Amino acid sequence: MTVAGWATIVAFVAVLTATTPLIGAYLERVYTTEGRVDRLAVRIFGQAARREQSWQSYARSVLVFSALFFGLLYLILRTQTLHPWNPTGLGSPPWDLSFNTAASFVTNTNWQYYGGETTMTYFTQMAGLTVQNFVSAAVGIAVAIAVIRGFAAHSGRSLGNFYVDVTKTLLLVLLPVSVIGALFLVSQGLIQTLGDYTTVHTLAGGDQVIARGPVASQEWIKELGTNGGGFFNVNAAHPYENSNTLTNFVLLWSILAIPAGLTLTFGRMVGSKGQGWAVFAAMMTVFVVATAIVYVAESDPTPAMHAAGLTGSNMEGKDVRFGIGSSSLFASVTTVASCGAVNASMESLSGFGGAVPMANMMTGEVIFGGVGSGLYGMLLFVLLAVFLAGLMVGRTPEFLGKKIEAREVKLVALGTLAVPLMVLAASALALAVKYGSQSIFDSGPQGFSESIYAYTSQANNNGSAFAGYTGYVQPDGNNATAYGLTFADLLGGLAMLFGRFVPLVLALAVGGSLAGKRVTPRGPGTMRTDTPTFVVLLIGTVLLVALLTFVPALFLGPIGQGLTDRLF
Amino acid sequence: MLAEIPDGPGDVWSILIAVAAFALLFVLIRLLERV
Amino acid sequence: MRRDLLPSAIAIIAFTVVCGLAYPLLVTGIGQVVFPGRASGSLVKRERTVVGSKLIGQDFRGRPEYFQSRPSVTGYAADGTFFNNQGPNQKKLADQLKANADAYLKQNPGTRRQDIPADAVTTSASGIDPHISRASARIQARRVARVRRMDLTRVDDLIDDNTDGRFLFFGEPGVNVLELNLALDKEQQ
Repeated sequence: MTVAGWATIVAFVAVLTATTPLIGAYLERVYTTEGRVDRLAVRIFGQAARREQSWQSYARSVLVFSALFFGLLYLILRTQTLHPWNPTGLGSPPWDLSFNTAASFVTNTNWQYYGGETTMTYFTQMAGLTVQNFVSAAVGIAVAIAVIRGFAAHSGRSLGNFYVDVTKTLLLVLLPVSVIGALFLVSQGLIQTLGDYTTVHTLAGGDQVIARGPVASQEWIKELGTNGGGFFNVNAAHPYENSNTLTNFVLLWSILAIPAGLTLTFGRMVGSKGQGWAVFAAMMTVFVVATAIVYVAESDPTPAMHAAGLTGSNMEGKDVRFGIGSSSLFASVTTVASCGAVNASMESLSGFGGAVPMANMMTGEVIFGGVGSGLYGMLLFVLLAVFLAGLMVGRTPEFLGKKIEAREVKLVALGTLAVPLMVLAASALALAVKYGSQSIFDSGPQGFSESIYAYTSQANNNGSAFAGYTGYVQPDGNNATAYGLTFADLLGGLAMLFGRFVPLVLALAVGGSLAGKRVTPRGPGTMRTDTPTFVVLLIGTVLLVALLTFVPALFLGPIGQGLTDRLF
Repeated sequence: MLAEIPDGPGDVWSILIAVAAFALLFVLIRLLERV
Repeated sequence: MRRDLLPSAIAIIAFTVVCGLAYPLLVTGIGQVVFPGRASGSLVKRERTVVGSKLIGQDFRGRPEYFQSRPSVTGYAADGTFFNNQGPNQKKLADQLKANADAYLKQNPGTRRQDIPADAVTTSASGIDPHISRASARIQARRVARVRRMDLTRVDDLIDDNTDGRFLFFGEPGVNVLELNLALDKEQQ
């Protein structure tokens, strides 16, 4: 551990905290003022953009929209032989990998059983995957705004209009920022070209083929939209995706920028900035602790290093320019958000160093979380916390002046338990059945960890992996002789679809339920939800649900390995 | 390979599973109205 | 649901064109005009041959007169990157590390095992890490100076000249192995 490493973490926290109110305010203005984009949406989508939608209507729009995009992306993947901008003449990936990949990108997960430079044409990367990076992010943010409207509404049951919200998100937020961000990245060395792979003649006398592509444009929205899918297989460890220490810091900031900002958007839209800061504080506290643990853990040699007589920090699976500090920070940021990009190998992290990313995801991706989905996921935990507090003190639970009644509690229970249940079920199935063990790469507890990580990541729409776990085998580094591991591809795809859309629908239902409620003004007996006490209660609720469910799995896998020097 | 228009049993599976998954989500919306 | 089919269909076409074609093509166009070298991969030339990229590491094994790059599980292949994926308690990893350490000690005699810098025997994440740590460079400098019959202080100076610094205190500085080796060759022309 170095002073510079800790200083980087402190600087990151400071920058994120400073930009949160600015982004929060901007986003609030985007969705609460009517302007040219509203009229543009009506011109493009017609009557559909004029409807004031109930939660059911909004949810249906999301589903139809996403289903059609799934179909389009699947079609793009399966017709790669027809694509322009296909420098290495790649064929189409098989149906099972395509299913997993289409489900993955539509759900903002960006889980990649494939490596980009040996599987996808430039056309797929741009017109298939980058599009989903934008659109899935826009859906997440739109749903969050709709849910917030439900919390904030004093009359009526409308949660807004899906088509207007998505169009606004793309045209007023994601696209303009991405043009600037992508060009910044190019200035720092990220590659952005439609040219072929290039062959260079190395100093030692050999040839090196260097894969290229339109990377910077994808990289920026990949992080800003908490997507995480890399252009290349090694993701943001690749120098063409993340060339220096500045791009690394900026990309990290961009991952949490909108999720953090939305806490203040929420606060503003419900008339209490303090409420927004309380949610932010809960998230930030957990994030800082998680980051610190990873940094400390990675600073020591691993059991394998000990056995080889080596001292020093765990540089296995890390690039020099990021070192221990910036790799640890990245590992934490990418798993508290549902991003899943990596600048180091997750599988090579130490026992405790690897347990933290896993645990981060197991909280349900509500510590900042994905763009939009983190906020509405956290709001479900807020209601759960309020409910638990109400039980403890014997009062009717209420939040922002609205009574939390049986219907809301049932929806919240479903919303907070659905994904953990899916993680457990899918992991158990994959471990029990021989088709599941085909994917495992490392021996011993690490193999167990790989499986748990895979389904935790996919069901929580994260997308990072202990990358030894396979779902696609390319014996010749292309698609022609490749085959998918159907079990892993399908189970993962279903986990991702479930993990994205079930909580999304439930959150909208909660928003719809609250929208119609009367607001009672605050009295002397009302429990305050913008105090440090509440922040602690909220953190406790999130950790309780995650830990109770997953502590056994964590001990059997990463923590167990962290406690011993034994080799497997 | 000329044009690889999706064909073969695999793609049929993909479509069926995807349709089923989204259909179940529509059912979920209906069910939640009764909760 | 039916009311959504047409607007959604319009949306998927419109958004694909804007986000998937207009946006990346725009960024490519501007990027190639304003930052042509960087947008095309920061390629490095010597005389008229392209010998590599400033950002992409290379293999120098078998050439002791050059500084050696970090171990790479892909042999510095830049058209098919992947991780080592060996967990912290894997026996296979311990064996790899032992072998790498033995090789490093053989190449750079006079070093103690416990002083070997971690990056010198571990694989990078990208497999094409262009850098090595300054500590590793200092150790290798002795060998390089001897093989090339150069002054050690001059080699150390070249190391400093070819170190990519870090922005403020983020990350770590790294010695760019390709640029350093090119500088060494130039020095001795």
